[in-house]
Amino acid sequence: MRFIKLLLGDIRFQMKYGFYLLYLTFSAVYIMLLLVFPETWREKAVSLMIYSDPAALGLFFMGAIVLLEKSERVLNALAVSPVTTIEYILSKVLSLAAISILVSLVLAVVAGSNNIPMLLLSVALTSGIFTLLGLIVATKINSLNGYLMATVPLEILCVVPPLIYLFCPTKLLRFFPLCSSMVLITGSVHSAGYDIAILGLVFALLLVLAYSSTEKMWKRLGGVTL
Amino acid sequence: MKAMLLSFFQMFRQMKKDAMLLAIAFVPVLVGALFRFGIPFAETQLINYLEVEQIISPYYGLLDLFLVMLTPSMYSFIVAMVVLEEADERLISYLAVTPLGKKGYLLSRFGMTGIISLFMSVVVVTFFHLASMNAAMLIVLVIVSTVQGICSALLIVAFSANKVEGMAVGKFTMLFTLGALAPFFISGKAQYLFSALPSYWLAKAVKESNYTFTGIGLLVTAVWILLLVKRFEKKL
Repeated sequence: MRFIKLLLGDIRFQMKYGFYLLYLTFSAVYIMLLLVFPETWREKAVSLMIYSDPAALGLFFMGAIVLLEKSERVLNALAVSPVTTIEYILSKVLSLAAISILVSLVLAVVAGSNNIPMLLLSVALTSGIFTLLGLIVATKINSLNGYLMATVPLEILCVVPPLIYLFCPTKLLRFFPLCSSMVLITGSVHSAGYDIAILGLVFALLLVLAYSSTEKMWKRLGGVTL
Repeated sequence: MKAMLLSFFQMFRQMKKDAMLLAIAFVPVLVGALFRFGIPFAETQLINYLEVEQIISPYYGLLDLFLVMLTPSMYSFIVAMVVLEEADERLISYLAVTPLGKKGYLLSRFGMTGIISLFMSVVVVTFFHLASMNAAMLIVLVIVSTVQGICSALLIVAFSANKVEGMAVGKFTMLFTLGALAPFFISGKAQYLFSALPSYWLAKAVKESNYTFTGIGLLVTAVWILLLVKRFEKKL
């Protein structure tokens, strides 16, 4: 029950600050673009759109969310409440994944993707991975500009190889964990077990790291400038 | 003018303290280099892999336009974040009653940053453009894109109460640049759906090598700026 309330609180926060409105608008624009692109482009275009935006939104927004919570002393309140660190983390992961999944579902339906359940599973895991990465960085910095700068190399590292793999699927890139996400988003199920296992493993690893950094952050809560 | 310059240098001093903020200012150069060398490389690889004559090269003009819009977009985001912070600290209300005034404040923040962005943009585009485009067209595109950047910054500060909203609206301002896709990918009158976006007119100017469209783009941007300044002033 406590977790549900926390989750609903996060969803309300995201609605209040315009995340849903933003992605509603972006979905409309993406749909418009998908419809005007030649049919042969659609499959790749939708994979590119889903992977680079809704799936990766956690990395973009997590810094601002955590810093606002720090500056408004929300974290101080949470730290002394019965809410556990893992509940806090999962609430962030699931609330942002909800937006990722909704937007991806709409785009996949419009583009006529062939394996939507697998695509959504991949988006959920990828969104979680990006959110956890964002959370790990956000717990270590004190300004939004610092966060933006710190996430630029991460974004390049996490987004560029899978995008290259989308157009040039080389064996070498196949070993890059996030290429598994791109493979599933494109609807390929030849190695679905392997890809889901890889993404699950990366998610679990990042969850442990995020847990450790969030615990540390809660212990050293102090004033920050947002 | 003196008050405005003092106000601008005060902001610059504040930004200098934040090394990260200054580092972001040089990101367009890095991205420009990636554009200049990465895209032709990707094109060669794709042509060989897919065994076709060309894939990305017909759109080099469009990619150049995105490169032109990149610097103003990034700089406008930085200055919007600074202004949001000053609004949060109630600094703007105090500055507005000094000889600087509201308009002076806006000019010192957005106008001065626009001028720096314009010079940076010229450097980035000169060194890293992909298509062969005449210098006059590039300069005009840079000028209108700079004004469009100011417009994006105003949009962020006019509709955001804090930096989280600033991030969301900042992402929303990306739509300003997406209008550039319309003339290249949408045929017929449907493309005019994007005519409220300045980038649409800039892309049309690039595609048809017609300066008139850059003029329309500038006019559209001016209307946006007037509306947004009014909205922001009400908020102050």
